[in-house]
Amino acid sequence: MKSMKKSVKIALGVLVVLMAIGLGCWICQQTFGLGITGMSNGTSWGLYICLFLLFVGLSAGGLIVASAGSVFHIEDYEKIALPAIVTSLSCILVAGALVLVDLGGIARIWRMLTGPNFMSPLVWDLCVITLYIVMNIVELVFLVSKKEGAAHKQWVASCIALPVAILVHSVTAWILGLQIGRDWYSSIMAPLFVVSAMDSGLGLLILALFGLRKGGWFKVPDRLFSKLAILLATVVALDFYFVFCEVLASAYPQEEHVLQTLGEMFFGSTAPFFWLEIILLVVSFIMLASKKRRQNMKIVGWASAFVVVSVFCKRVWLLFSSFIHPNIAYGPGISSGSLSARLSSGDQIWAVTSNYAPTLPEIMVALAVISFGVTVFIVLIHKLLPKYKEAHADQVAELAQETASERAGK
Amino acid sequence: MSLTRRGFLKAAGAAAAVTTAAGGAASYGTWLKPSKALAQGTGEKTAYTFHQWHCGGNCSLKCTVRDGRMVQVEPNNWPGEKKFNTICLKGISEVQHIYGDTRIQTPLKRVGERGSGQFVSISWDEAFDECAKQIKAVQDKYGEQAILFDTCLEPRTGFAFIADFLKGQIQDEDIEGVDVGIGNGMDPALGRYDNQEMLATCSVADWVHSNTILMLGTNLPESGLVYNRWFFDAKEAGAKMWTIDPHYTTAACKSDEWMPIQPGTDAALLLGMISLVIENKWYDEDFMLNYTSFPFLIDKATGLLERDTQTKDAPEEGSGATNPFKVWDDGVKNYTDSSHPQLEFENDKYITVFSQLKKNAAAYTLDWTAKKTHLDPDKITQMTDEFANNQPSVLAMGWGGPDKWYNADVVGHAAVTLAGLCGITDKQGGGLGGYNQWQVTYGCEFGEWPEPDDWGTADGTEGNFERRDDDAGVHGYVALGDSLLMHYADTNKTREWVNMLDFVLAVDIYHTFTCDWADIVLPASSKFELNEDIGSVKTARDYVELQQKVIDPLFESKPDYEIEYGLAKAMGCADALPKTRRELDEVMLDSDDPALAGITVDSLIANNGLQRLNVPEEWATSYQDHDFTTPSGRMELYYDWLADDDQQLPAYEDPNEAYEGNPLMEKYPLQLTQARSKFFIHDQFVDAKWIQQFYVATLELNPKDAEDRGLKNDDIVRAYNDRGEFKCKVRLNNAIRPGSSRIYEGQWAKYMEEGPVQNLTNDNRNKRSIWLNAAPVAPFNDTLVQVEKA
Amino acid sequence: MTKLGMVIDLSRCVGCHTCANACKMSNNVPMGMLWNRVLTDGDEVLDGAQGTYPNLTRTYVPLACQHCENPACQKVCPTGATYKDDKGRVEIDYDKCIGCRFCMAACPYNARVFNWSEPDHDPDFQTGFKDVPIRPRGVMEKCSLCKERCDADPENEPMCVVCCPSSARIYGDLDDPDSEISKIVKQSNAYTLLEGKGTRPQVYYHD
Repeated sequence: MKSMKKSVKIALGVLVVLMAIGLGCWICQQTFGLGITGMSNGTSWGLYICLFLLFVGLSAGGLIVASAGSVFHIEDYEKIALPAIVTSLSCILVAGALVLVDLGGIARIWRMLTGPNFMSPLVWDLCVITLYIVMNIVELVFLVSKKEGAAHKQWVASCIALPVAILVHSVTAWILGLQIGRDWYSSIMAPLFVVSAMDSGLGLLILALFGLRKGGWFKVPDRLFSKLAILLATVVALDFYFVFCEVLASAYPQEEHVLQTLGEMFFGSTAPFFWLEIILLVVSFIMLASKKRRQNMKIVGWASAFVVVSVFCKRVWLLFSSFIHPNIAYGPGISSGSLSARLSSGDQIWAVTSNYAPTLPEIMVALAVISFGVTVFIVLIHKLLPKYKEAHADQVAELAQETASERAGK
Repeated sequence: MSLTRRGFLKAAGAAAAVTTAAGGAASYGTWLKPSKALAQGTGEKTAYTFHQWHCGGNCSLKCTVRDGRMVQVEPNNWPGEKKFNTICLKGISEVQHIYGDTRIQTPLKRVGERGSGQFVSISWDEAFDECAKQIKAVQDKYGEQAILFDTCLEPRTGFAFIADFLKGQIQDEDIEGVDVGIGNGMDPALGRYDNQEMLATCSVADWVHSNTILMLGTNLPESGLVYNRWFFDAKEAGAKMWTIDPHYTTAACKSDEWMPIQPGTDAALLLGMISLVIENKWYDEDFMLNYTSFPFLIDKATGLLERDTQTKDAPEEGSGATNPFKVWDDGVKNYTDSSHPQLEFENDKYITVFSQLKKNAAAYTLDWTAKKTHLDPDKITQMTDEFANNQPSVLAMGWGGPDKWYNADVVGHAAVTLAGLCGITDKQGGGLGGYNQWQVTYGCEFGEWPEPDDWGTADGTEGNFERRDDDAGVHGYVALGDSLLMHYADTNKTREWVNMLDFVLAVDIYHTFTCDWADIVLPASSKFELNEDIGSVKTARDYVELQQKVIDPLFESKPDYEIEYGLAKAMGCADALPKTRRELDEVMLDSDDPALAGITVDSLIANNGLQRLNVPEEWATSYQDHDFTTPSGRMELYYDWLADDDQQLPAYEDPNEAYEGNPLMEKYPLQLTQARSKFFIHDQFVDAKWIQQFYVATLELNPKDAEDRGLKNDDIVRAYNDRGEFKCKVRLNNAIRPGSSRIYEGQWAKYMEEGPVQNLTNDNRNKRSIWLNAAPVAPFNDTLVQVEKA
Repeated sequence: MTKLGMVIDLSRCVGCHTCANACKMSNNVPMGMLWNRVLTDGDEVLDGAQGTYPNLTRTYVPLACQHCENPACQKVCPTGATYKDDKGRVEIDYDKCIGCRFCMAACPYNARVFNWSEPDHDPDFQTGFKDVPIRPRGVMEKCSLCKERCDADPENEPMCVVCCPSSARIYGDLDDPDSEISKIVKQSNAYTLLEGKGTRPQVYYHD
């Protein structure tokens, strides 16, 4: 760690503190139960699962770009494979950890191994995420290896990793999309998730590359960013299209219960998130639509950030809108088990509609897990980048040269 | 106490519900079973007892005890009638309730002001001695009648002697003015002069034979849960059901027709129905001529029935034999000597009761009735037609609605007059009254424990029913149950009065409103707790029920009989009492009555606490043989004793307060009903946690009235009038009639922002109704309020 | 095959919640939750009514686990903690439940309740039938058709059926054409809730 910059050390320090606080909160959660979160019998998944959906997407996006680059020999994408995979691995570890902290009985998780129910999308997710993590690690190993044939092995790994990456997000989508009991039930949930994985993952990757460039660890020329920006713009447009299709299909039959849920999305509690997503998608598309703007790194950067935020918003309204109105919502409702219901008594235990807001301990646990991911990213970059540079000296040099000449040309 | 018990965020305030016993060791304290341990099956036993009776339930319960704690209650088996195998949500809630934090745990002595709720624990000996001393002091100073003994209904099975050895005045339902409103008007016609509170003339079991059932101000499928099997069997057998109620109650939604009547106008409806019956000649002439006083002659000059000796005095059964009534049969004849009396007749001197009724009916046109009641005239006509012509018919009435209005007696009088016109009472499946008590039984004569001659309750001041005034001469108050809350309107008056008393004693299981006003509070055990192996014995629906010990008395409470005995001992008269409850029960069951033959304490124990009397299998009925216990032996609809009030025949009078056109409505536009519900029995179970899951003191308004006041669900509101106010949360409910409001009765002030509801209830009583034994009804529902956001 | 189920007569249900409390007692259900709830159809307040005064209707609907033939919850349970037993009931093996709450998200009827915190029992001891397991925090629970009670004695019925004051509930084997439940389901044109979800409940309702 001696070779780390001071700013990085400070960042790591902050991250460690956040992780410590979050760990403490998680221990409380283990001691007192998930009751310290804002979840309830109405909204039974909360911040953890919402972020899980986001981070699976963020991870898959980066990996799809990197693996596609390898598989189809797209040179520019091959060149950014390492940061892409490191980003991907960090994100998927965050995602996995988020599912684990969400469990009410983590001590019994070995049951998933001794008696898995293969009809369950959660079991599929376990399998596919595990495979995905393995593929990430395998690719990294081959990427930094100087051995003969490593590149070929990495190519083979990519051929496996690419479909797995698509599958990872599809399976995650199916956790929601196959549930006929909720308004998530939709056949395009998987494509929708894959597309939002791509645009958010790509957006995150662009931001990560900017960060690495700024810190001087990995130089990527503007031209490459502009190229990624085209891809991003395309996928953003696709994302918007899928959202539009989803909303249209939901709204058209004017089925009463679905309309209630849509009402929440358009005018109600999840509306801010829905509209923010739409606006940000449109705005980022416009930002990236013109060649000239794509050459403006500031614009590319902001657009990428907007896309990540917009996909976070999507996760929020997608997950939570369907929890608000139970299918059978007659009075007095469900015995909510919510935080406020637990603190009160008597006839306050009921809820006809379910509302949710994360509690402070819940937020701290989530932050801790994200900090963990950032830490993994920093550590991996710190450890692997030098090795990668050694193994792919030419490619790295090309990039650095191009970057330098761009700067000179300005 | 484990921090994990109530969770992270609640830890600070979490106090164990059951371990705050002041000096009482509780073996049922905070047990936190290890997460996955299954309970040991050891030490599980079953005992049988009976539960609440004055809800009409009389459920016999099979109770499971495990490790010394009552863990389950379920219906017992009633041999011969499975439909009696009942329990309700209240009985089940006892599994938590009896262990709850509202139990009075030790005898208490007041240390603060009356009403402040400040007490210290004392021992039983100290408590008994203090009570005896104080009661004696009051009685020595002012006389025996200066003690007022006021009991809610439920304790009566356990306390058999206390009223008699206290020798004070008694405020039972004869005087308290609760549940007597309609009965005051209905019962005399049937010859019931001993306050039978309009108990029905047959039982719900007969409804399966009925064609038309009217439910007027009664919500039987909700307040009489245990009778639902009969109710629905009747419905499935084809009975057409009408509910007459301002609110859309459970009865209303289970009926074929609902008549959303203007509150307080039920008498107007009944009088309108009488007019329709007369006008359309739907009356049963035969019945009227032979079994009612309709052909009797009235002396127009006096307004009294023509007899050898006219009288306004209280009627006496059979006095018609020596002081006969007259009819017109080609001249004035004794009613017993006439073969063809005329139903309708009038000359200068006389008029028949029926002709007079017909004259009175001219005022109660369909138009007038419809306007008064806000009901559809076609529906009124249809309902009357079906009631009169599609018999057997039932007119079921209740004690929680129109009964609690100033002129409730007119409702009863009109009801029985209508019944007499249509001749409904002698058909199987026909009858009227309050059905939420199964009181038509063959019954039995229990053996009696001989009491000393000088025991017995004192007479109150003649004609006095308002015990809270000087006239009554009350200086000490002994309460069993939450009588101060349930029996008196206008708490300000109650407070003033209680503060003037020399001594107040309260006996209760739970720490209710009345307890806070007492000087000494004695903790009673629930029905499940005894020291002896058995407790009380009673009858219900022609079965004998025995109370068995389920668990030991909780905290330092004592079973009813031990409290009674302890008090008697301190007062020096325990020698006259049985030493144990078993001793008393054995005397009771040792009777000459063949109905009790073969039924002993041991046989009851052997039969799980439940045996049927030796009586016929068919359900008992009444008045099938027209055996009215009146002077004439007939249904007597003309009340001589109300001549001074012009109410010999029912005459409509607007309510005292909640009537349209009352200028007071400008200030207080909403009528307030304290209704009965499935959740509570008066004030009981208001504190039960398993009931509070569903309802905690809430005032209900129609959404329109609420929106006019800017209210939404769960807002805290203030309801008020000139007498006082209360505060609690509000609920918008389509079922509530606009212009009216509803809260369930018996709400404890403890669970309200401010209470109780009685702070603002109407206290005026109609003095017309003072006669014989039953006092005028306290018109709790004849109350106007305004509601606003608090 | 045995296929245990229930049919509820909604014309008889008066919304008294006796079944809710009976279940709570018999199965030692903690405070703040109920396995069996009684709902007022068409209004959001308890004991409300549908419509505008005086044109009102009201139906009470008791709702608990529907013991579906094609249960959405069973499909998604990762450890197989939720299973369909040999009598056709949907049950939970508490030892296998990892508290992921997927079943809760999948159930169209919101029939399940989760132990978010340390279960708050009031009274402080185990109530009801002795063999009903005590559930720890972090596991899911729901109506079990009083499995332990009914398995202990074939004469036993679920507590909600025993205690209903209106005798609105009939319990029995839907696969036995001569059983009372099968006859009533047929004669009364009984229906199931949320039929479009394809779960094929074994709890029927009729008017």
